[in-house]
Amino acid sequence: MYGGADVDMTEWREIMHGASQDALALAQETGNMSCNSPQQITVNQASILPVPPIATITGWFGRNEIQSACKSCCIECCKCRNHCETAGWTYFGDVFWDAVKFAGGCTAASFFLPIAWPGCALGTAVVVDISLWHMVYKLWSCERNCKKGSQCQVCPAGYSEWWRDTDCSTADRW
Amino acid sequence: MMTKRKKFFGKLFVSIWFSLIPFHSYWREFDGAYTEMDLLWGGVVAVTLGVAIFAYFPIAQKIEHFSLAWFLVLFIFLGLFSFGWVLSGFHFPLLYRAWGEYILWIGIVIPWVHQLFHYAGKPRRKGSFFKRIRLNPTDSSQA
Repeated sequence: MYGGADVDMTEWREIMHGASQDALALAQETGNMSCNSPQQITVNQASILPVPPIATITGWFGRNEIQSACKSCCIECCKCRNHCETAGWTYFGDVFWDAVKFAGGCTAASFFLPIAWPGCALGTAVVVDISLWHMVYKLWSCERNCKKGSQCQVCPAGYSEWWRDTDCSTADRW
Repeated sequence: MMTKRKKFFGKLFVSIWFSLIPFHSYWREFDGAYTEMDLLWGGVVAVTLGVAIFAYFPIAQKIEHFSLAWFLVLFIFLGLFSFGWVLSGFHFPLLYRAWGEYILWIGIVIPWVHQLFHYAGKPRRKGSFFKRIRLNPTDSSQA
């Protein structure tokens, strides 16, 4: 089941990963000009950045450029529906880690610089406060914009990666 | 006692750490859907930000609290923070949201550095851009 609200995102990622592999193989076999078209991705990169494409340098970050572009599209449309119910906990975890990052960095810096612990405590409190309000904003924004919903198995054009001119709606199984 | 060497490493550490925080938030927002180019540009901005923070320390140490310069920096970065806040919402596509997170965190860390490393020496001469503004010029109790 793809469209239910109780879908585990980890499972989803596995499904998406498998689908991307299948779609990539299909596109390579048929020469299908879709989301998985290597030509399209190359052209898009050239149009975005005035530098030589680095997609040819493989293995830099252990990821496939084509796969991730469509995975992004898929996350955009599918995560949107299933995301809002569980996003609160994810964002809450983010708030915690933001506080740890800030407090850790500040405490470590206080060994070298004249920073008193109340300065770090106040800074961390501000970070937590901002992160919590940011969480509320993102949840509200998620509810407002994503609840309109869409079929997860078909990525609608509205959620395609239009800023990269990648039409994921035409890709098989996306 | 803070030696010069210790201070240098402290500033270096803060520059690196506080440029990695926005980069991490940017990276996290992609939720695994990033491309090499996304990371490359994120990395370029992180390095630039780190250099900017390091270069900003001597400037921050000239600025008194509540001076014109102090207000100006806060004004600029509060604007940047607000822009990042709006951009990180679900109204925008993933790439924009990720950059929104980046900008939001830049708008947090720079004012923090700005606030923490302000000028703490003798009050500056009158009329300085870096001098604290006082509503009552005869009030010397806060000097």
